[in-house]
Order: sequence, then C-alpha cells, then structure tokens
Amino acid sequence: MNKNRIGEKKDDDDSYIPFQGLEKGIVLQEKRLFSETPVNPRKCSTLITKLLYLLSQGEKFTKQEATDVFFAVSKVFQSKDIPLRRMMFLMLKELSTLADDVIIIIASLTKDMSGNVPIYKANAIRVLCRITDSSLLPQVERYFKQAIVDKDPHVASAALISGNHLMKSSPELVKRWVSEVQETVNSKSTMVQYHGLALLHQIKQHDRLGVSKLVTSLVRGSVKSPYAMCLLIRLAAEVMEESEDKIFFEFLESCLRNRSEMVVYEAARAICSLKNVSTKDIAQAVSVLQMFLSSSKATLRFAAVRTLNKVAVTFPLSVTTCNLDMESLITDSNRSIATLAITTLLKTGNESSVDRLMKQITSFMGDISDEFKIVVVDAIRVLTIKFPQKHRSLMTFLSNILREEGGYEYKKAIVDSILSIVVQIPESKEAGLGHLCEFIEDCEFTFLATKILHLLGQEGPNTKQPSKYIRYIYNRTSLENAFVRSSAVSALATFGAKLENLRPSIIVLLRRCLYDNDDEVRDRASFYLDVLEKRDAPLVHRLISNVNIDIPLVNLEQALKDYLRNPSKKAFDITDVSTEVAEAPVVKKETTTGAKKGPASTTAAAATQFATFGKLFKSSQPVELTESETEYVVSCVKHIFNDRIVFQYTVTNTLKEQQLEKVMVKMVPQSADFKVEGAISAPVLPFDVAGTTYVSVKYVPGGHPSGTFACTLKFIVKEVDTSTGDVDDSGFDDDYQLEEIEVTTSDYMKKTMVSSFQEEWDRLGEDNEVVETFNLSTMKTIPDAVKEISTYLGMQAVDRSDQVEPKKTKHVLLLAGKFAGDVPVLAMARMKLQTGVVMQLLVRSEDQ
Amino acid sequence: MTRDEWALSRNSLDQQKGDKYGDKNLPLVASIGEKYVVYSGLGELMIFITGSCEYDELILMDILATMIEIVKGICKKGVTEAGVIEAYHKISIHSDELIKSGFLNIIQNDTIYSYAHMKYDKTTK
Repeated sequence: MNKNRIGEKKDDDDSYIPFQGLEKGIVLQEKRLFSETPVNPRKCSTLITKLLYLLSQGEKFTKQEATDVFFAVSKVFQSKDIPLRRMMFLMLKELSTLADDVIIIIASLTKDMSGNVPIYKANAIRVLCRITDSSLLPQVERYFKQAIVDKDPHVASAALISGNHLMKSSPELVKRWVSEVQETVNSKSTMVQYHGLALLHQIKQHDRLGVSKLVTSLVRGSVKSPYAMCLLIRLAAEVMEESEDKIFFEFLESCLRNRSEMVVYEAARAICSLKNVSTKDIAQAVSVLQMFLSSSKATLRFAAVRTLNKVAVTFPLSVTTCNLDMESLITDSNRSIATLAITTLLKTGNESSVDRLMKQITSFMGDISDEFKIVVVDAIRVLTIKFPQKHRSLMTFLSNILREEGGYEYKKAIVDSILSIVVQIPESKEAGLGHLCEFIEDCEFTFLATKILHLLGQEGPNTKQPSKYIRYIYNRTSLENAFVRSSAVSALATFGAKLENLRPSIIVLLRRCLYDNDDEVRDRASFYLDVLEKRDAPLVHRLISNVNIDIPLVNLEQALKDYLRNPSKKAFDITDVSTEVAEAPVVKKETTTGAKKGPASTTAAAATQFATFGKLFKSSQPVELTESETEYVVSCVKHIFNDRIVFQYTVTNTLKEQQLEKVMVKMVPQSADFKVEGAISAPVLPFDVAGTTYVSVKYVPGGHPSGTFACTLKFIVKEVDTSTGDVDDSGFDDDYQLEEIEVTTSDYMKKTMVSSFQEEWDRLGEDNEVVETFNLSTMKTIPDAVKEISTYLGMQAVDRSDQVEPKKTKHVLLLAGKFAGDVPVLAMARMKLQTGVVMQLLVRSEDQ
Repeated sequence: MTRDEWALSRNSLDQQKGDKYGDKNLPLVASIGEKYVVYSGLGELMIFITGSCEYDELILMDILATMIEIVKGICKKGVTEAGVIEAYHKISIHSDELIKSGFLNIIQNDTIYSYAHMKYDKTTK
C-alpha cells in the first residue's frame, strides 16, 4: 500500500509525518514516470524527492537498481521545466557513485555545458566531475578550463571546486590548468577568489618556492574575500616556517585590524602558532583574543579560549592578563568553553590565586562530563607540581572528587595524578597514601585497588607510622575479590619483610589468609609465611622487600614459555634468561623486496667458520646499502664479537635477464684499526632470490674502534634466456658500488635494564666517571635530542626518562647499557634548551 | 557533546530565555579531536555542522547561520518535523548550493535562493 502523502491534504493530526512507511520497492516501480512523454514535472519532482529521502535515510540500492534509476532520471534532460531539471542534476550526482555505466550521459552534459544557460552549465559541470575518471578526463578537460574563466561566478566556482576534487584522481591533469586558475584569484567575486586560491594552493603545494611566490604576490592586498584571506593567512604561516622575510609577519599583523572577525581570529591564531615568536610579538595577538573572550558569539569565545589554552603552555605570563575574563567564562553555558577556561586558568594561575580557583572549580565539576573532568584533573596535577607548597589543598580536592560518582577512566586519572604527585613531591606522600587508603575502602575497580595496594606495600613501611596502613590492607583480604585479596597479601608481606617489629603481627594476619577460597591467595600467603618465618634476613630481602628483576619481562615470559614447552629435569634458572632488551630479530628477517631465500649452504658454512670467534655479543639492525628499486638490493647486519665484526650482506638480484655467481662484497676500511680477514661468497644468485655473503673484519681486542668502510659488490654475471630459463655458460666480471657502511660506538653497546638506576649510579661512584659538555646545535627540541642521543649511544632509557613533554626546556635522560665485554655502563645526560640543546654527559663504568 | 548541552539545545524554553548575552539563538560549539562541531536547535530541528582543517568553528558558524536562514525561509509556517520533510526537496537543493561535496560554495542567502531556483544572481549581473 502506498503510504506517502505528499501532494495530498495534510491531516489535522499532529503526528502526520510525510514519507512515513515509505518503501523502496514501491518507489522504484514508479520510475516509469520518467519515461512518459511528455514528462509530468510535478510527479517526477515528487518521485525524485522520495528517492533522495530514501538515500538519506540509509536505504541501500543495489547496483542494478541504482543504474536503472540513473538511466530513468537522465531522460529528464529532455524536459524544459526548470525546477525539475534542478532536481535531476541533484539526483544524478547522488547516484553517480552507485550506478554503472554513468558516462553514458556525457553527451547530454556536454550539450548543457556548451549551451548559453549558465545555470545549466554549472550544474552539468558538477555532475561531470562526479562521473569522470582519469581516463575520460582528457576528453572533457577543455570544458573545465573554459568554465574556470567563465564570467559567471557560479560556473567558475563549480569548475574550481570540481578541480579540487579531481586533484585526488588526476593531479597531473589539473596542474595544467594553473594559468586559468591563476586568473580567478583576481576575480571580483569573493567565492571565486576563495575557490581559486584553494585550488591554486592544491596545485602548488609541493612546490615551496611556488607557494612562497604566490603568497608574496597576494599579501600586498589584492585579496578581498574573508575566506580567501583566512586561507592566505594559513599559507603565510606555512611559508614563514622557512622564510624569515618580514613581509609575512607584517601581513599577519595587518590582518589583526581587519573588519572580519574571522580574519582577525585567524591572524591571531597564526601568530600564536609561529615557532620562533617572541613575547612582544604575541602580545598583540593575545589582546585581540582577550577581546573575543567577552564576545556574545559562542564560537568566538570558544575559538579564543581554545587558542589561549595552547598559548598558555609556552607563554603563560602573556596569558595572565586574560585571567579575569576567563574566570567569567567558568559559568559559561557552553561546557566546552567553561572547561577550556578552567584548564587555561590552571596553567596560568599564580600561587596566590590557587585557593580561589579551586573553590570555583569545585562547584563547576558537578556540571561537566567525565571526559572534561579528566582534562581538569590533569591540569590540577600539573599545577600541583608547579606549586609544591599547595600540595595539601590540591590533594584534598583530588581526594574529594575521587569519592564522587564517576567512571573508570575518570577515577584512574585521579589516582594516577595522586600517584604522580606522591612520587614528585615527597612531602605529600603521607597525605596521598592516606587519601588512597580511604579510596580503596570503597573502590569498585579491581585494577585501581591492586595498583594502590602495591604502592602501599612499597611506600607504606617507609612512613612515620606504617602500622596505620595495615588495617586498610588487611580489610582487603576479606572484603574484596580474589585479585585484590592476592595483592593485599603481597602488600602485607612487604610490610612484614621491611618492618621487623611488626613481623609477628603480620605473620598472624597472613596465617588467616591460608584459609582463603582462592588458590592464588593461599599460595602467596604460604610462600610469604615460609620466607618470613625462616628469619633469614638476606632471603627475606631478596624474595620480598627488594625483588630485583633486571630482566625485561618479555624475555622472562618467553623463557618460561620455552621451559614449559620443553620441560627438563633441571630446575628453571632465572640467571639463564637474557638481560638484553629485545630488538627486532635480524638473522631470520626477510629481505625488503620480499624475495625468496637462497640456499642455506652459505649460512651453514658461515656458522661453522664463525663458531671459532667466541660468543656473539650483539647483532645490529639491518642497514640498507642501496635503494629498494635498484638492480641489486643489498642490506647489511653487523655481528659483533670480542675481537671481530662479521658483516652479513643480504643481496637480491632484481634483474630477470641475469644470474649472479660468486657474489661477494669487497670492503676497504678507511681506518687502520680494522683489518679485513676473510669472506664467504654466495655461490649462485638467480633472479629474485636473496643470497647471503659474509665478510669478517678483525680489530685489536679491547680497542673497539669506529670507522667507515667503502663497499663494492663484486660478482660474475651470466645472461639468462627469460623464455627458456637457460643460463649462459660464460659470464663476465662486474661490480656495483654500494653506500659506505659505518661502525660506531653504539654498535659495541647493547641495551639493558636496571631495576634501580640511582643505586647502580652511586655504586659506581665519581671515581669511575667521565664528564663532557656538548652543544647539539641541530637539535631544536628536547624530545628530538632525547631520541637522537639514545639512538647514537645505543643505550636503553630507564626510569621513563625518555618520556618528555614537548615544550620542556630542561631534562635529565638516564641511560643504561652493556659495552662489548659485558661491561655495564650508565650515562646521565643533562639537557637544556637554548639556541640548540646544550648537553652535559656523565658516563660511569668500571672499565675506563 | 555533554548531556547538558544536548538538553540545552533541545529545550526550546531555554532557547527562548536566551543566555546572559541576550542571544536567543544559542548556537553551541564543541571539538572532537581535530573536528569542530557547531550546532543549534531550530524549532523541532537540530542542525549540526561539522568541519576540520580550514573549516574551523568561525566558518562553520557562518555556514550554520546561512543554513538556519535557509530552513526558516523555506518552512515559513514553523520548523516542524513534518514541515521539514515535506519541504525536503527544497532544503536539499538549497543546501546543495551552500555546500558542494564538502566545500563551501556560496554563503550569501539571496544568491543561494537565486541559484536554487535556476535564476541568474542579480547581485552579480
């Protein structure tokens, strides 16, 4: 039954909704209306409306259905009814991606495009853009080019926007229109100017000089459209990253006085985002944003406070002038604005305003959702660390909101913040632990409870009154689930291990846990009881209070799995587990070309020969010595031994017409400290098969020199008949130059873990220390420097010292490793950001 | 969007009261990741405009304002669900002139009206 009611009288019933119960099958049956002669405009318009409505409601059309409708609708080209033609264009665009053989309407479209009616032209161009692909575009290109320079702005805009879309599929073709597009930038129509500039930028985006010239020519004032101005401001900011020409900054400053608020804001935002901007330059932009804070438009307030929030990270003092205006935004009806205002105030507030701010935030927190609350909690954490004197009031605030309703992520954020504060501000430890104890009394999240119990076990015994925490921990052994009870048992045992005076009481409590329902709880209780009752201080220390596992957990897990898979009579020995931080496996890695592996004979011969070199210390990551598209693809892995380096080259022949034989790499050291000892060549290397060749280089034991090697691939080439696969008997010698390969200090270093960096550092002492200062002028930020130093030294960052906030100006990086000969080495890099990064590097090791 | 903002937008009573700036049409703004959303209630309708990169909240605000004018102009008897669906074809054509495949095409309301009715734009003649 047809239930649609368009065109009929409306019911008086308020619940009347047109198209209610509209069915696709019934609507599709009506497509015969398009084939009538003459077409009925009203009925056809109604039918197109229904089809569009079905599509917008997510109704799926099969390819056949879409194609049938597409062809049916295209018959409307013969109608002269203007509203119907307009609907037809809309429908054709919607169906163009769903139907097959859509290019069949090109003839009708080109007729419209060649006609005199600009309205038809513009719409025809838009449809043409949708149905054209890269193969068809060259044939219809001239229509677009003509339309771009058309006097009618509607037509020009249609062509320019189509060009933007076509850039994705046929960029090279659209780039040919550059001279036509260039003209549109001077158009009187504001929208044509905007579209023209957008397309011009798309065309030139990979040509930095071109973009710079474009921006330079336009900043002198030929752009009127506010949208084009906004785009131009963004381009100017991009160009300023590489150019120091003052004309661009002057342009941005002039835009701060533009009539359009959009342009003013864009200019202020661009100035605030510049990399090397000074406080003086930013002041004008901040004052403009301050004005926007009291605007009646929510979007302006939002935009201003969002930008000030980012500026507050790098220039907090510049933003303090806006604090009064931002305080009034805390009660803004738009919660996004209010949250941004709060977090900005938290970044820029001074110590005296903290208490006032916290009062305002307390009432605000109840009105916002969890995701906003998490942002505020993080900002409070940063504020606490910034003002350690205020830790008491801020910690109380955090504990109060911890007791309120909230989801897991929110509670986790608060707990993490409290833990972070406890770690960074030692004076806050007792208060923090007290708050966390109260929290776990009524905590619904197992992960958080176990985390806090573990912390209590670690830190509780070191406080002034450790016994007060025992009640909280012991309550968890009876009132919670098995995971939490197990953690509580471990925490109790740690107290018993570290505090001898409390040990008898702890033993009594642990005995009660032997009757628990859960295996894990009972196992842990009996293990800890056994250790504590032995009264063997070193054993207690090693097994409970100071469990040091200097082994990456991944290695331990793998070793345990291997032991369980292949059980032996010998007990599992933790000292057999490797302490090396696992990197990507190198020997079994496939070649970058995905080529098949060559015969194993070379590898076997190498293994036999290199067995006499002693224990392998380290294997490096593969280093590419050629580009991936060259005739011969070569990569190298360096295997470090006590007094030798074995270079393992993986060679792939990518030429079908050739077979390589006796493939080897000739290495010429640039340093006299190295001596090439011998090589194993790959006997045969057919097409697309990866072969391996080795070169052994000797150095003075204990010398560990650095240096580069010039490398040449040498081989015998034999021609291959690609049709039959036959190989010529005779060949000729040939060689191929490879990139140089370098051996550096990091090759002799492997990454290791240390459980307590400070203890190891103190143990090595200043007598085993070497200090030097470096100026890393090429490093622009601390995170970049951290990454480079870790890679250059080949050492492992410990104690999370590789986690650096992006805008930090000072940092201390802690590194641990083992040098060749299994010599432990620790390094401390103190960094400060000035024009580059100034670094003081302290290295301690027992071996000078 | 928070629960409050959703309630605020849908509650026509709050819209009539307006906020402290005396603005009765209460467009709201939010950002989700790198995307901006500007939204407002209009009668029984909720209009959301979302964009990213150069289409930040200020341009979206202009687009939203134009969209509101379009719908108001079409649904002269009041913006109800039935009225909007009944005028679906007109709204589709007008919004097709406003935004073309993700690009802002025309922002002036009278120009959009002209082109939607397949007339020459008198302002540019």
